[in-house]
Amino acid sequence: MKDARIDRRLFLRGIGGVAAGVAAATALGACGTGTSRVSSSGGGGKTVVVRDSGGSYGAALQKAIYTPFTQETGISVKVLNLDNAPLLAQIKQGRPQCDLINDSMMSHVKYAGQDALEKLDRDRITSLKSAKIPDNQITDHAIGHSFYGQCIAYRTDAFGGRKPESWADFWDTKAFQGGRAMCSPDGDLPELEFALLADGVPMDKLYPLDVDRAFKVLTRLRSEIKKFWDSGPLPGVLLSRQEVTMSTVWDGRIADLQKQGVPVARQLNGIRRQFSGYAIAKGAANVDAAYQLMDFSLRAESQANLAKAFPSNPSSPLAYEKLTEDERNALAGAPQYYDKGFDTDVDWWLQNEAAVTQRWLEWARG
Amino acid sequence: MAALTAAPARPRKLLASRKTRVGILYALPVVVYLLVLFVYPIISTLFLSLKNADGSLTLHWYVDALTGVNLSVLITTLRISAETALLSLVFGFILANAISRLRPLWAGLAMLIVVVPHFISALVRTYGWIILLGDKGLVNETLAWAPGAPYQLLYNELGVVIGTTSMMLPYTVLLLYGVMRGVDRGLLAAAASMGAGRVTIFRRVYLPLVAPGLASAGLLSFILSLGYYITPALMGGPNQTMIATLINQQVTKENQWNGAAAQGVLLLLLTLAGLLLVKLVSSLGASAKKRSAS
Amino acid sequence: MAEFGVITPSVAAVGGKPATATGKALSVVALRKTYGDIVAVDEASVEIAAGEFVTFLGSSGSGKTTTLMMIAGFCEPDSGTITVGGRDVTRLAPQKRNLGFVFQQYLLFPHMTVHENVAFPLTLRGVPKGEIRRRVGETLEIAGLSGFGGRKPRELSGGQQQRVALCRALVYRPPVILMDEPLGALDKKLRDQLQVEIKTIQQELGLTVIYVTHDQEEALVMSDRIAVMRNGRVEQFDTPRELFERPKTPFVADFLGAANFLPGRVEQHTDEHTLVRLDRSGGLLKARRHDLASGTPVEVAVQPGRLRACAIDDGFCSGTVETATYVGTLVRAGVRIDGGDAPLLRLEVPAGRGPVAGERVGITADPDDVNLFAGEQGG
Repeated sequence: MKDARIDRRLFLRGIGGVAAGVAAATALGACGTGTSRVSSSGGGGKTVVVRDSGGSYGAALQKAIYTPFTQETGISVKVLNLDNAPLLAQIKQGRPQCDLINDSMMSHVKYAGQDALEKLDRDRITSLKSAKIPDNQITDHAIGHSFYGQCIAYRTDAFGGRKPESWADFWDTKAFQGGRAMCSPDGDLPELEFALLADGVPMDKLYPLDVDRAFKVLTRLRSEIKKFWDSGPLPGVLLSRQEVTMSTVWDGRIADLQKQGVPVARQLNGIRRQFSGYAIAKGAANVDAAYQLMDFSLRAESQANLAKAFPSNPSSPLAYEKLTEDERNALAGAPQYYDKGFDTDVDWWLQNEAAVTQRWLEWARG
Repeated sequence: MAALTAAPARPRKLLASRKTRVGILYALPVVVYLLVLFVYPIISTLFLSLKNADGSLTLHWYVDALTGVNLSVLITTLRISAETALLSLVFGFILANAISRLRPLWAGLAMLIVVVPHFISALVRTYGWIILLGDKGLVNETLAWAPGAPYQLLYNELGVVIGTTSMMLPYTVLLLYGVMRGVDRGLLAAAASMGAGRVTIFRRVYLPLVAPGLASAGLLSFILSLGYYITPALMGGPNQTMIATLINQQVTKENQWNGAAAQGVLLLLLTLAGLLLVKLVSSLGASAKKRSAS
Repeated sequence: MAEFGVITPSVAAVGGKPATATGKALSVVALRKTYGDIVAVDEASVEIAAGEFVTFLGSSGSGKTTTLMMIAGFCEPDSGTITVGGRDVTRLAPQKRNLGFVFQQYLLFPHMTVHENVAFPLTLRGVPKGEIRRRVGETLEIAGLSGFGGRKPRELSGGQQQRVALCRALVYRPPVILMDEPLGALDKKLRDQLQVEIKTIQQELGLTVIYVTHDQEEALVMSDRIAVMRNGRVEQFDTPRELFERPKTPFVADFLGAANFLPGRVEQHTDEHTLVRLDRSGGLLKARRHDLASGTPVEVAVQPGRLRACAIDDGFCSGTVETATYVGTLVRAGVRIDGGDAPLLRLEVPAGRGPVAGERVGITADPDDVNLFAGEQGG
C-alpha cells in the first residue's frame, strides 16, 4: 500500500513536468485543472471547498445550494472541478484540495476502497432523518443526494407519429428508421443493460449482466450507430441537427431543446439510474464546514430548490412534495416513474468496468 | 582555498576556474528546473511503467500496450497524426503563402481568422462542424444532386482529420508564415532574371528555402496530434480512438496508473523517434547534396 | 503596343557615339514610368552597342534604377520601347528576356553552393552536365574563385559573394548584363579593386554591361559611356571625357566636375573664342566659341582642376587665397574673389606650385576648358 502511495505521488508530479514539454502529457496533463487551494481561513469567515462536476450543474448548485448556505451560515464556499484520479492522489498525499466531494456513488465506493474518505458520523447530519433519505442511499462513507438517469431521446417528427416505447424499439431500425447514437465509455458506463432489455431480459433479472449476450445484441445495431457520444450536450446536438433519429441521453439534457421548440422527446421506459452523493475527503481541512454543507444540501427544500434549477432527481421523497406538479412530472425521479427504470448495480460495475470497457473498445472498432 | 593562496603563479588558471564557478552559478536555476520538472518526472513515470502491483519489475504493461486493441489504437494514433501533419502542411503552406503576400493589416486579419477556432470550446466547434459536414449539413445539402450523397464526412477518420487539421493549422500557418516572410523576395527576382519560370522558381528556390519550416511545422503538428483526444473523440468513431484517450480512461476511470505510464512512455518514445527521423532525413538530404556537388 | 516612329523632342540625349559595326545590343526609346503624380522616368532614350560598358549615373530618385528595372522586366513602363538584339521585349516577363542581372544585395541562393549558384542558369537552359561543370569552373577561375565552388555563400566575404553573383550573371553569356549598384555594399578599397576586376572581365569577354551607380568616380573609371540622369530624364549621354570637358548642362558640369560657376554676359565673339564680361569682378574671360548672342546672360563653368593661379594682373579675376589644403599630389585652394561675396572659387593645382593662404593671386583658365551656359540657371 505504501508503495502504491509513493507511486501515485511520483506520477502526479510527473504529470506537471512532462506537460511542460512533451506531447505525451497532453492527455495526462488534462486531468488536473483545479483551482488553487484555499486554506481554511484565519481572521474572517470560514470556508469550505466542494468538488463538483461544473457546467450547468455547477451553476445550479451555486444558485440553489452554495449561495443560500453562505447566507445562512456565513461560511463561504469554494468550488473545485477536478477529476477523480488527481483528487485521489491528493488525498493519498494527505493534502486534499477539497473538503466535500460531490460525485457518483460508484466513485465513492472506489474512494472508500482506497481509504480516501472520512467515515461519516451520521449524528452530525440531521437532515438524514428530516429529509427521509432512504436507507439504501446511506453508506458508511457517502450519502446519496440524487440520481441521474440514462434513457431514450428521439425526434418526434421522424417516425410518422409513432413513438418508441422500449429499448426493443430503439433496436428496431425498420419500424423506427434513422441513425442512432449511444454512449462511449468516455461518457458513461457502457450501455449493456439496454441491449439486454431490448433482447427481452426482464428489468429485475439484469444483474449480473450477461456480457456476451449484450455485445451480441449491440452488434445487431452497430452499423446504425453513427456516433458514440462522450459528453452530455452531444445527443441533443445530434438530434437537433437530424444526424440521428434516436439516441441514449442523460435525462434532462433535452429539456432546453424542447423549450426551444426542437421536436424531441424522451422515453423513460427502461431508464438506468445512477446515484450521486456526498462524501468527505480524508484529511480534509474543514471537516466541520463540510458536514454543515452536506447537511444543508440534503435538506428536502434544498434538494427541491436544486431540482427546480437543474433536472437532478432528489433522493429525499419529501423534496418532490415541495415541487409543483409540472416540475415533478418533468423529473424522472418522480414517484409515478419509479417502476419504469432500474438502479445500476454499482458492485457489479466496479468489478467489471475495466474489462467491459476494454471489450467495448474491441467491439466498437471491430 | 589553500590552493588558491598557495598557487599565485598560475593566475590564468584561477581566473578560468572562477569563471567556471560563476558559470555554474548562472546555469544552476535552469539545471535545477530541468531536473525537478523534467528529468525526475520522466524517470519516475518510467519506473511506474515498469512496476508490478507487488512492486517487482515487469514489462507486462508494455506487452499490454503493444498487443491487441491497444496496439491497434497506437497504430491509429500514428496514422491519424501522420495524416493530420500532412494535410495541415499542405493547407498551412497554401494559407501561409497567400497570407505572406498580403499587406500587414490584411495578413493580421487573416491570421486572426486562422487562429480564432482555437479559442472556441471543442463542443461548440464540433457543433459548427456538424452544421457544415453533417448529413443535413451545408456541404451535403449543396452536394445533394451528386451521386452517393449524403457523404459521410463525420464520425469517421475523415471527420477526425478535418477536425485535427483545423486545430493544427494555426501552428503550421504561423510557423510557415514566419519562414516565408524571412525569404528574400529578391532571390525569386534573381532567379527570374536568369530565366527561371514560376514553377522552377518555386521548386528550386522557394521550396528549398522554406523546407526547414516545413519540416518543423510538420513535425510539430505530428507530435501535437499524437497527444490529441478531444477532437478525435468528438469528430470520430471508436476506430479513431487515440492513445491519449486510453491513457485518460485508465487514469481517470480505472485508476490504472502503471498501464497509463507505459503508454505515456511509448508516446514519448514515438515523439523522440519522430524528431530523430526528421533530423535523419534532413542530414541525409544534406549529405546527398554534398555528394552531388563535389 | 510600342509606338515606333514617334521621334521625341528629348532625343538630344541619345548618345553621340554611333552604334558600332557589331550593332545595337540594346535600345531604349522614350521610356516613361509614373507612380501616381510622380514621374519616375521621363522619356528616357539610350542606344547601347554590343561590347559597350554603359553607366546610368544619377543621385537617388533620378530614375536610373527604375530604368534598369524596366529593362530587366521587374517593372513595366507606361510607354516606350525596349529592344534587345532587335527583339522587342517591352512587355515580356523577366525570365523571357535572357538578360543577366547583378544585384546590390548579391542575392545568391543561400541553400546552394557557389558552384550550384553559378550552374543554376545553365541548368535552366538544359546545358549538359559536363559542360556545366566546365563552364562554371572557367567562370569561377576568371573571377579568381577557383576552389570556392563547394562553399555556401554565407561562408564568403561580401566581395567574394559579389564576384559569385557576377559569375552567375555572365556564365550563360546573356547579350546584356545589368548591374544595379553592385559595389554599393562594399568598402572603398574593395570597391576600387572590384571596379578594375569587373572592367577587366568585361573587356576580356566583350560583355555588354549596363551599370547603375550614384558614384561619379566609379562611373568615370568603368564606363565607355555614361548616361547622366536627373529627375527621370537623361541629361546627357556621352563618353566620360565629353561629359567632363563638354558638359551640355550646368547640372552635368556640376555633378561630374563639381565646376565653379560665375555669372556673366556675352560681350563679343572672335573667330575662335567667345568673350564674357564677368558680373562681379568685371574681368573679361575668354572661352572657346559658343553660339550665343552678344548680351546673353551666361553661367561660366570651369572645373577646379582647370583653373590656374597666375600673376595678379594676368587673370580674368583676382582674389585672396583663404584656404590651401594639401591632399597628396594636389593642393586644393579656396580663393575669395575681389568685388563681391561670391562663394569661394575652388582650385586644384599640382602640389609644390600651389598658392599659400593669404596670397593675392590672379585666376586664369585655358579658353578650351571654359563652358558657357545661357540663362540664370546653374549651381
